[in-house]
Amino acid sequence: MGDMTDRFSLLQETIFREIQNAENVEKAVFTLRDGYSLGHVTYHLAQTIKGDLHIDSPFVRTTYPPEWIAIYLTRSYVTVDPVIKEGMRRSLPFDWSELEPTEEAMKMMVEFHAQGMGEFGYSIPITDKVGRRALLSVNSKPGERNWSKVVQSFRPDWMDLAHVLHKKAIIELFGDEDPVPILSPRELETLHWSAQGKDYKEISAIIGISEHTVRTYMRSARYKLNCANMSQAVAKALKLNLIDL
Amino acid sequence: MFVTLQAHEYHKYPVLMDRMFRLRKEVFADQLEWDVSVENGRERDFYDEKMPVYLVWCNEERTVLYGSMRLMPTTGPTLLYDVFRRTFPVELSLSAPGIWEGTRMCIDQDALARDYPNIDPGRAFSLMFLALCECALDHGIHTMISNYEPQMKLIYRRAGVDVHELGRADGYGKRPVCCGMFEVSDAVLSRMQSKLGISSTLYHKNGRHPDPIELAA
Repeated sequence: MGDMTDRFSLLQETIFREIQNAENVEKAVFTLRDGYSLGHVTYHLAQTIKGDLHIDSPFVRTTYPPEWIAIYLTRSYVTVDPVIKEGMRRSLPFDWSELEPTEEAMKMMVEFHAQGMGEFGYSIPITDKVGRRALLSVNSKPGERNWSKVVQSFRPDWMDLAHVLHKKAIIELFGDEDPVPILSPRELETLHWSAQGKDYKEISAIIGISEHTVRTYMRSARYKLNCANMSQAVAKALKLNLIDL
Repeated sequence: MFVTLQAHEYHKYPVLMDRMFRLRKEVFADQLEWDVSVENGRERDFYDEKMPVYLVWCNEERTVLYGSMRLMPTTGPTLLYDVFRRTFPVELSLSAPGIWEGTRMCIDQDALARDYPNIDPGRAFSLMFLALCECALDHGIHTMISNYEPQMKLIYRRAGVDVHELGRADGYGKRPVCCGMFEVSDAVLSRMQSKLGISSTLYHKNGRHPDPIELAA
Protein backbone atom coordinates (compact mmCIF):
# COMPACT_ATOMS: atom_id res chain seq x y z
CA MET A 1 0.00 0.00 0.00
CA GLY A 2 2.81 2.39 0.91
CA ASP A 3 4.45 1.82 -2.46
CA MET A 4 1.19 2.38 -4.30
CA THR A 5 0.59 5.68 -2.52
CA ASP A 6 4.09 6.86 -3.32
CA ARG A 7 3.77 5.90 -6.95
CA PHE A 8 0.48 7.77 -7.25
CA SER A 9 1.80 10.87 -5.59
CA LEU A 10 4.85 10.82 -7.84
CA LEU A 11 2.51 10.72 -10.83
CA GLN A 12 0.58 13.61 -9.31
CA GLU A 13 3.76 15.66 -8.85
CA THR A 14 4.72 15.06 -12.45
CA ILE A 15 1.34 16.05 -13.83
CA PHE A 16 1.22 19.02 -11.43
CA ARG A 17 4.42 20.40 -12.93
CA GLU A 18 3.34 19.60 -16.48
CA ILE A 19 0.09 21.50 -15.96
CA GLN A 20 1.96 24.46 -14.48
CA ASN A 21 4.47 24.43 -17.33
CA ALA A 22 1.87 23.93 -20.06
CA GLU A 23 1.52 26.84 -22.45
CA ASN A 24 -2.14 27.36 -21.50
CA VAL A 25 -5.18 25.65 -20.00
CA GLU A 26 -6.10 24.25 -23.41
CA LYS A 27 -2.85 22.27 -23.43
CA ALA A 28 -3.05 21.47 -19.72
CA VAL A 29 -6.34 19.55 -19.99
CA PHE A 30 -4.64 17.20 -22.47
CA THR A 31 -1.76 16.77 -20.04
CA LEU A 32 -4.16 15.71 -17.34
CA ARG A 33 -6.06 13.38 -19.68
CA ASP A 34 -2.96 11.60 -20.93
CA GLY A 35 -1.29 11.46 -17.52
CA TYR A 36 -4.18 9.48 -16.06
CA SER A 37 -5.16 7.61 -19.26
CA LEU A 38 -8.60 9.18 -19.21
CA GLY A 39 -11.12 9.42 -22.03
CA HIS A 40 -11.56 13.16 -21.71
CA VAL A 41 -11.03 16.11 -19.39
CA THR A 42 -13.00 19.35 -19.25
CA TYR A 43 -12.41 22.46 -17.17
CA HIS A 44 -15.35 24.84 -16.97
CA LEU A 45 -15.31 28.20 -15.18
CA ALA A 46 -18.89 29.18 -14.37
CA GLN A 47 -18.88 32.84 -15.17
CA THR A 48 -16.12 35.31 -15.52
CA ILE A 49 -16.47 38.62 -13.78
CA LYS A 50 -13.80 41.26 -13.87
CA GLY A 51 -14.68 44.41 -11.98
CA ASP A 52 -18.09 45.47 -13.21
CA LEU A 53 -17.68 43.64 -16.45
CA HIS A 54 -19.67 40.44 -16.70
CA ILE A 55 -18.53 38.19 -19.48
CA ASP A 56 -21.41 35.91 -20.24
CA SER A 57 -19.59 33.28 -22.21
CA PRO A 58 -18.07 30.80 -19.80
CA PHE A 59 -14.44 29.77 -20.02
CA VAL A 60 -14.32 26.13 -21.11
CA ARG A 61 -11.30 24.07 -22.09
CA THR A 62 -11.81 20.45 -23.10
CA THR A 63 -10.21 17.50 -24.82
CA TYR A 64 -13.53 16.52 -26.47
CA PRO A 65 -13.27 16.17 -30.24
CA PRO A 66 -14.52 19.10 -32.35
CA GLU A 67 -17.40 16.92 -33.66
CA TRP A 68 -18.85 16.50 -30.19
CA ILE A 69 -18.32 20.16 -29.31
CA ALA A 70 -20.20 21.15 -32.48
CA ILE A 71 -23.15 18.90 -31.61
CA TYR A 72 -23.11 20.16 -28.02
CA LEU A 73 -23.22 23.77 -29.18
CA THR A 74 -25.74 23.46 -32.01
CA ARG A 75 -28.20 21.53 -29.85
CA SER A 76 -27.65 23.86 -26.86
CA TYR A 77 -26.85 20.89 -24.67
CA VAL A 78 -25.31 23.22 -22.11
CA THR A 79 -28.87 24.03 -21.00
CA VAL A 80 -29.60 20.31 -20.64
CA ASP A 81 -26.31 18.85 -19.44
CA PRO A 82 -26.90 17.67 -15.85
CA VAL A 83 -23.17 17.67 -15.12
CA ILE A 84 -23.06 21.44 -15.66
CA LYS A 85 -26.52 22.28 -14.35
CA GLU A 86 -26.01 20.43 -11.08
CA GLY A 87 -22.25 20.61 -10.95
CA MET A 88 -22.08 24.37 -10.70
CA ARG A 89 -24.41 24.25 -7.71
CA ARG A 90 -22.91 21.24 -5.97
CA SER A 91 -19.82 21.57 -3.79
CA LEU A 92 -18.93 17.96 -3.10
CA PRO A 93 -17.24 15.94 -5.86
CA PHE A 94 -19.66 13.56 -7.57
CA ASP A 95 -19.82 10.58 -9.86
CA TRP A 96 -22.01 11.00 -12.92
CA SER A 97 -23.99 7.95 -11.79
CA GLU A 98 -25.32 10.12 -8.94
CA LEU A 99 -27.06 12.47 -11.36
CA GLU A 100 -30.75 12.15 -12.03
CA PRO A 101 -30.96 13.10 -15.69
CA THR A 102 -34.07 14.46 -17.36
CA GLU A 103 -35.41 12.83 -20.51
CA GLU A 104 -33.59 15.41 -22.62
CA ALA A 105 -30.38 14.72 -20.76
CA MET A 106 -30.78 11.00 -21.47
CA LYS A 107 -30.99 11.77 -25.18
CA MET A 108 -27.85 13.82 -24.87
CA MET A 109 -26.05 10.93 -23.16
CA VAL A 110 -27.14 8.51 -25.91
CA GLU A 111 -25.66 10.89 -28.48
CA PHE A 112 -22.56 11.26 -26.32
CA HIS A 113 -21.97 7.49 -26.32
CA ALA A 114 -22.78 7.26 -30.03
CA GLN A 115 -19.92 9.70 -30.59
CA GLY A 116 -17.61 7.16 -28.98
CA MET A 117 -17.29 8.67 -25.54
CA GLY A 118 -16.92 6.51 -22.42
CA GLU A 119 -19.90 6.08 -20.14
CA PHE A 120 -18.39 6.94 -16.76
CA GLY A 121 -17.51 10.33 -15.41
CA TYR A 122 -16.51 12.13 -12.25
CA SER A 123 -16.69 15.86 -11.55
CA ILE A 124 -14.98 18.02 -8.99
CA PRO A 125 -16.52 21.39 -8.10
CA ILE A 126 -14.02 24.15 -7.37
CA THR A 127 -14.66 27.18 -5.17
CA ASP A 128 -11.94 29.80 -4.70
CA LYS A 129 -11.48 32.54 -2.10
CA VAL A 130 -13.21 35.11 -4.29
CA GLY A 131 -16.19 32.76 -4.51
CA ARG A 132 -15.68 31.89 -8.18
CA ARG A 133 -16.97 28.47 -9.16
CA ALA A 134 -15.59 26.05 -11.66
CA LEU A 135 -15.90 22.37 -12.47
CA LEU A 136 -13.32 19.82 -13.48
CA SER A 137 -14.85 16.78 -15.18
CA VAL A 138 -13.01 13.67 -16.16
CA ASN A 139 -14.51 10.76 -18.02
CA SER A 140 -13.57 7.25 -18.87
CA LYS A 141 -12.43 5.75 -22.11
CA PRO A 142 -15.08 3.53 -23.75
CA GLY A 143 -15.14 0.04 -22.26
CA GLU A 144 -13.66 1.05 -18.90
CA ARG A 145 -14.22 -1.79 -16.41
CA ASN A 146 -12.80 -0.51 -13.16
CA TRP A 147 -14.09 3.04 -12.99
CA SER A 148 -14.86 3.09 -9.28
CA LYS A 149 -11.36 1.83 -8.54
CA VAL A 150 -9.84 4.45 -10.82
CA VAL A 151 -11.81 7.15 -9.01
CA GLN A 152 -10.90 5.77 -5.60
CA SER A 153 -7.20 5.75 -6.47
CA PHE A 154 -6.87 9.06 -8.24
CA ARG A 155 -9.51 11.31 -6.72
CA PRO A 156 -7.08 12.92 -4.24
CA ASP A 157 -4.79 13.74 -7.18
CA TRP A 158 -7.63 15.16 -9.26
CA MET A 159 -8.93 17.26 -6.37
CA ASP A 160 -5.50 18.82 -6.05
CA LEU A 161 -4.93 19.23 -9.78
CA ALA A 162 -8.39 20.77 -10.29
CA HIS A 163 -7.17 23.76 -8.31
CA VAL A 164 -3.89 23.91 -10.19
CA LEU A 165 -5.86 24.14 -13.43
CA HIS A 166 -8.18 26.71 -11.90
CA LYS A 167 -5.30 28.93 -10.76
CA LYS A 168 -3.84 28.65 -14.23
CA ALA A 169 -7.16 29.59 -15.84
CA ILE A 170 -7.50 32.66 -13.60
CA ILE A 171 -4.03 33.85 -14.56
CA GLU A 172 -4.77 33.16 -18.22
CA LEU A 173 -8.01 35.12 -18.08
CA PHE A 174 -7.07 38.03 -15.88
CA GLY A 175 -3.29 37.99 -16.02
CA ASP A 176 -3.12 38.28 -12.25
CA GLU A 177 0.09 36.89 -10.93
CA ASP A 178 -0.29 35.21 -7.57
CA PRO A 179 0.45 37.64 -4.78
CA VAL A 180 2.67 36.36 -1.97
CA PRO A 181 0.33 34.10 -0.01
CA ILE A 182 -0.39 34.74 3.64
CA LEU A 183 0.76 31.81 5.72
CA SER A 184 -0.14 31.30 9.36
CA PRO A 185 2.53 31.01 12.08
CA ARG A 186 1.99 27.24 12.33
CA GLU A 187 2.26 26.81 8.57
CA LEU A 188 5.52 28.77 8.61
CA GLU A 189 6.76 26.80 11.60
CA THR A 190 6.17 23.45 9.90
CA LEU A 191 7.84 24.74 6.71
CA HIS A 192 10.77 26.00 8.76
CA TRP A 193 11.36 22.59 10.37
CA SER A 194 10.86 20.90 7.02
CA ALA A 195 13.60 23.17 5.62
CA GLN A 196 15.81 21.84 8.42
CA GLY A 197 15.29 18.37 7.04
CA LYS A 198 12.79 17.18 9.65
CA ASP A 199 10.01 14.78 8.65
CA TYR A 200 6.37 14.82 9.79
CA LYS A 201 7.07 12.65 12.80
CA GLU A 202 9.99 14.75 14.01
CA ILE A 203 8.10 18.02 13.48
CA SER A 204 5.16 16.59 15.36
CA ALA A 205 7.45 15.82 18.32
CA ILE A 206 9.15 19.24 18.20
CA ILE A 207 5.95 21.30 18.11
CA GLY A 208 3.92 18.91 20.24
CA ILE A 209 1.01 18.42 17.85
CA SER A 210 -0.20 15.26 16.13
CA GLU A 211 1.32 14.05 12.91
CA HIS A 212 -1.99 14.55 11.12
CA THR A 213 -2.10 18.16 12.29
CA VAL A 214 1.44 18.71 10.99
CA ARG A 215 0.42 17.22 7.66
CA THR A 216 -2.66 19.45 7.52
CA TYR A 217 -0.61 22.62 8.08
CA MET A 218 1.86 21.52 5.44
CA ARG A 219 -0.86 20.63 2.94
CA SER A 220 -2.38 24.04 3.46
CA ALA A 221 1.02 25.75 3.02
CA ARG A 222 1.69 23.74 -0.13
CA TYR A 223 -1.72 24.59 -1.57
CA LYS A 224 -1.28 28.31 -0.85
CA LEU A 225 2.18 28.27 -2.43
CA ASN A 226 0.78 26.29 -5.40
CA CYS A 227 3.59 23.74 -5.30
CA ALA A 228 3.76 20.14 -6.47
CA ASN A 229 5.42 18.80 -3.32
CA MET A 230 6.79 19.81 0.06
CA SER A 231 10.38 20.40 -0.99
CA GLN A 232 9.22 22.73 -3.73
CA ALA A 233 7.01 24.53 -1.19
CA VAL A 234 9.95 24.94 1.18
CA ALA A 235 12.13 26.27 -1.65
CA LYS A 236 9.44 28.75 -2.67
CA ALA A 237 8.90 29.91 0.92
CA LEU A 238 12.65 30.51 1.22
CA LYS A 239 12.72 32.40 -2.05
CA LEU A 240 9.82 34.60 -0.98
CA ASN A 241 11.57 35.21 2.37
CA LEU A 242 8.61 33.75 4.25
CA ILE A 243 11.03 31.57 6.20
CA ASP A 244 14.80 31.54 6.54
CA LEU A 245 17.30 28.82 7.23
CA MET B 1 -31.38 9.05 8.04
CA PHE B 2 -28.39 11.21 7.28
CA VAL B 3 -28.23 12.93 3.91
CA THR B 4 -26.56 15.90 2.29
CA LEU B 5 -28.54 18.69 0.70
CA GLN B 6 -26.73 20.70 -1.94
CA ALA B 7 -27.79 23.82 -3.79
CA HIS B 8 -29.15 21.96 -6.84
CA GLU B 9 -31.70 20.18 -4.63
CA TYR B 10 -32.55 22.72 -1.88
CA HIS B 11 -35.86 23.42 -3.63
CA LYS B 12 -36.91 19.78 -3.35
CA TYR B 13 -36.99 19.92 0.46
CA PRO B 14 -38.58 23.24 1.46
CA VAL B 15 -39.98 21.92 4.75
CA LEU B 16 -36.65 20.53 5.88
CA MET B 17 -34.70 23.61 4.81
CA ASP B 18 -37.10 25.94 6.56
CA ARG B 19 -37.05 23.87 9.72
CA MET B 20 -33.25 23.92 9.67
CA PHE B 21 -33.07 27.72 9.67
CA ARG B 22 -35.66 27.86 12.45
CA LEU B 23 -33.79 25.28 14.51
CA ARG B 24 -30.59 27.26 14.08
CA LYS B 25 -32.36 30.34 15.42
CA GLU B 26 -33.64 28.37 18.44
CA VAL B 27 -30.22 26.94 19.19
CA PHE B 28 -27.75 29.67 18.31
CA ALA B 29 -29.77 32.82 19.00
CA ASP B 30 -32.08 31.67 21.83
CA GLN B 31 -30.15 29.00 23.72
CA LEU B 32 -26.51 29.88 23.15
CA GLU B 33 -27.15 33.62 22.71
CA TRP B 34 -24.70 33.95 19.88
CA ASP B 35 -24.68 37.21 18.02
CA VAL B 36 -26.22 35.85 14.83
CA SER B 37 -28.58 37.49 12.37
CA VAL B 38 -32.19 36.47 12.83
CA GLU B 39 -34.99 37.34 10.45
CA ASN B 40 -38.56 36.04 10.57
CA GLY B 41 -37.63 33.51 13.22
CA ARG B 42 -34.84 32.04 11.09
CA GLU B 43 -31.10 32.27 11.43
CA ARG B 44 -29.34 32.70 8.09
CA ASP B 45 -26.11 34.40 7.18
CA PHE B 46 -23.92 35.40 4.25
CA TYR B 47 -22.50 31.88 3.91
CA ASP B 48 -25.92 30.33 3.40
CA GLU B 49 -26.04 32.32 0.15
CA LYS B 50 -22.83 30.65 -1.04
CA MET B 51 -24.47 27.34 -1.92
CA PRO B 52 -23.06 25.36 1.02
CA VAL B 53 -23.66 21.67 1.66
CA TYR B 54 -25.97 20.81 4.56
CA LEU B 55 -25.58 17.50 6.29
CA VAL B 56 -28.96 16.77 7.83
CA TRP B 57 -30.41 14.09 10.02
CA CYS B 58 -34.06 13.63 9.13
CA ASN B 59 -36.83 11.07 8.82
CA GLU B 60 -37.19 8.98 5.65
CA GLU B 61 -39.85 11.27 4.20
CA ARG B 62 -37.49 14.19 4.75
CA THR B 63 -40.13 16.14 6.62
CA VAL B 64 -38.84 15.96 10.21
CA LEU B 65 -35.42 17.34 11.11
CA TYR B 66 -33.30 15.98 13.96
CA GLY B 67 -30.05 17.78 13.36
CA SER B 68 -28.02 19.68 10.81
CA MET B 69 -24.67 21.22 10.03
CA ARG B 70 -23.21 23.30 7.23
CA LEU B 71 -20.17 22.25 5.23
CA MET B 72 -17.95 24.43 3.06
CA PRO B 73 -14.58 23.91 1.38
CA THR B 74 -11.70 25.92 2.84
CA THR B 75 -10.53 26.81 -0.66
CA GLY B 76 -13.55 29.17 -0.75
CA PRO B 77 -14.83 31.83 1.65
CA THR B 78 -15.21 30.36 5.14
CA LEU B 79 -16.99 31.59 8.22
CA LEU B 80 -14.46 30.51 10.79
CA TYR B 81 -11.64 32.48 9.24
CA ASP B 82 -13.76 35.56 8.57
CA VAL B 83 -15.37 35.63 11.99
CA PHE B 84 -12.59 34.55 14.28
CA ARG B 85 -9.48 35.96 12.65
CA ARG B 86 -9.50 39.00 14.94
CA THR B 87 -9.65 36.94 18.11
CA PHE B 88 -7.59 33.92 17.17
CA PRO B 89 -4.06 33.53 16.22
CA VAL B 90 -4.18 33.27 12.42
CA GLU B 91 -4.39 29.49 12.57
CA LEU B 92 -7.76 29.51 10.89
CA SER B 93 -6.43 30.45 7.50
CA LEU B 94 -5.94 26.73 6.76
CA SER B 95 -6.91 26.22 3.15
CA ALA B 96 -6.58 23.27 0.79
CA PRO B 97 -8.76 20.87 -1.19
CA GLY B 98 -9.64 18.09 1.24
CA ILE B 99 -9.87 20.46 4.23
CA TRP B 100 -13.46 21.52 4.89
CA GLU B 101 -15.17 23.51 7.61
CA GLY B 102 -18.29 22.47 9.48
CA THR B 103 -20.37 25.12 11.23
CA ARG B 104 -23.79 25.58 12.84
CA MET B 105 -23.95 22.01 14.05
CA CYS B 106 -27.12 21.58 16.06
CA ILE B 107 -29.74 19.02 17.07
CA ASP B 108 -33.45 19.29 17.75
CA GLN B 109 -33.71 17.87 21.26
CA ASP B 110 -37.51 17.90 21.32
CA ALA B 111 -37.88 16.06 18.03
CA LEU B 112 -35.28 13.51 19.16
CA ALA B 113 -36.95 13.00 22.55
CA ARG B 114 -40.23 12.39 20.76
CA ASP B 115 -39.00 10.02 18.02
CA TYR B 116 -35.82 8.60 19.53
CA PRO B 117 -36.36 8.61 23.31
CA ASN B 118 -33.31 6.40 23.85
CA ILE B 119 -30.87 8.79 22.23
CA ASP B 120 -29.53 11.43 24.61
CA PRO B 121 -28.09 14.69 23.26
CA GLY B 122 -24.50 13.50 23.72
CA ARG B 123 -25.13 10.43 21.62
CA ALA B 124 -27.06 12.50 19.08
CA PHE B 125 -24.07 14.80 18.57
CA SER B 126 -21.79 11.78 18.34
CA LEU B 127 -24.01 10.24 15.66
CA MET B 128 -23.92 13.50 13.73
CA PHE B 129 -20.15 13.40 13.96
CA LEU B 130 -20.03 9.81 12.78
CA ALA B 131 -22.24 10.66 9.79
CA LEU B 132 -20.00 13.64 9.08
CA CYS B 133 -16.97 11.40 9.13
CA GLU B 134 -18.60 8.98 6.65
CA CYS B 135 -19.74 11.80 4.39
CA ALA B 136 -16.26 13.38 4.39
CA LEU B 137 -14.57 10.06 3.61
CA ASP B 138 -17.00 9.48 0.77
CA HIS B 139 -15.91 12.73 -0.83
CA GLY B 140 -12.15 12.74 -0.37
CA ILE B 141 -12.14 15.08 2.64
CA HIS B 142 -9.32 14.26 5.05
CA THR B 143 -9.60 17.10 7.57
CA MET B 144 -12.51 18.97 9.15
CA ILE B 145 -12.34 22.27 10.98
CA SER B 146 -15.26 23.08 13.21
CA ASN B 147 -16.45 25.35 16.00
CA TYR B 148 -18.05 24.03 19.16
CA GLU B 149 -18.84 24.85 22.76
CA PRO B 150 -16.10 23.81 25.24
CA GLN B 151 -18.17 21.06 26.87
CA MET B 152 -18.51 19.30 23.51
CA LYS B 153 -14.88 18.33 23.59
CA LEU B 154 -15.56 15.63 26.14
CA ILE B 155 -18.43 14.26 24.07
CA TYR B 156 -16.22 14.13 20.98
CA ARG B 157 -13.49 12.36 22.89
CA ARG B 158 -15.95 9.77 24.19
CA ALA B 159 -17.07 9.23 20.60
CA GLY B 160 -13.50 8.49 19.57
CA VAL B 161 -12.76 11.83 17.86
CA ASP B 162 -9.45 13.46 18.58
CA VAL B 163 -10.00 17.19 18.25
CA HIS B 164 -6.96 19.42 17.99
CA GLU B 165 -8.04 22.77 19.41
CA LEU B 166 -6.85 25.70 17.32
CA GLY B 167 -8.09 28.33 19.72
CA ARG B 168 -11.06 29.67 21.62
CA ALA B 169 -12.75 33.03 21.81
CA ASP B 170 -15.00 34.81 24.30
CA GLY B 171 -17.72 37.28 23.57
CA TYR B 172 -19.72 35.36 21.01
CA GLY B 173 -22.25 33.95 23.44
CA LYS B 174 -22.72 32.77 27.01
CA ARG B 175 -19.75 30.45 26.81
CA PRO B 176 -16.50 30.66 24.88
CA VAL B 177 -16.47 29.20 21.38
CA CYS B 178 -13.71 26.77 20.42
CA CYS B 179 -12.34 26.00 17.01
CA GLY B 180 -10.76 22.67 16.37
CA MET B 181 -9.49 20.44 13.65
CA PHE B 182 -9.90 16.71 13.37
CA GLU B 183 -8.70 13.98 11.10
CA VAL B 184 -11.01 12.01 8.82
CA SER B 185 -9.74 8.57 7.94
CA ASP B 186 -10.74 4.92 7.94
CA ALA B 187 -8.96 4.56 11.28
CA VAL B 188 -10.97 7.39 12.85
CA LEU B 189 -14.17 5.98 11.37
CA SER B 190 -13.67 2.50 12.81
CA ARG B 191 -12.67 3.95 16.20
CA MET B 192 -15.88 5.98 16.27
CA GLN B 193 -17.99 3.03 15.13
CA SER B 194 -16.66 0.79 17.87
CA LYS B 195 -17.01 3.47 20.60
CA LEU B 196 -20.61 4.11 19.53
CA GLY B 197 -21.45 0.45 18.90
CA ILE B 198 -22.44 1.03 15.30
CA SER B 199 -21.37 -1.25 12.51
CA SER B 200 -23.46 -0.10 9.57
CA THR B 201 -23.26 3.02 7.48
CA LEU B 202 -25.30 6.03 8.60
CA TYR B 203 -24.70 8.34 5.68
CA HIS B 204 -25.81 7.43 2.17
CA LYS B 205 -25.16 9.72 -0.76
CA ASN B 206 -28.55 9.22 -2.29
CA GLY B 207 -30.29 8.88 1.05
CA ARG B 208 -32.39 5.85 0.23
CA HIS B 209 -31.49 3.77 3.25
CA PRO B 210 -33.30 3.63 6.58
CA ASP B 211 -31.31 4.08 9.79
CA PRO B 212 -29.71 0.95 11.27
CA ILE B 213 -31.46 -0.27 14.40
CA GLU B 214 -28.37 0.03 16.61
CA LEU B 215 -28.64 3.84 16.34
CA ALA B 216 -30.14 4.12 19.80
CA ALA B 217 -27.99 1.42 21.39
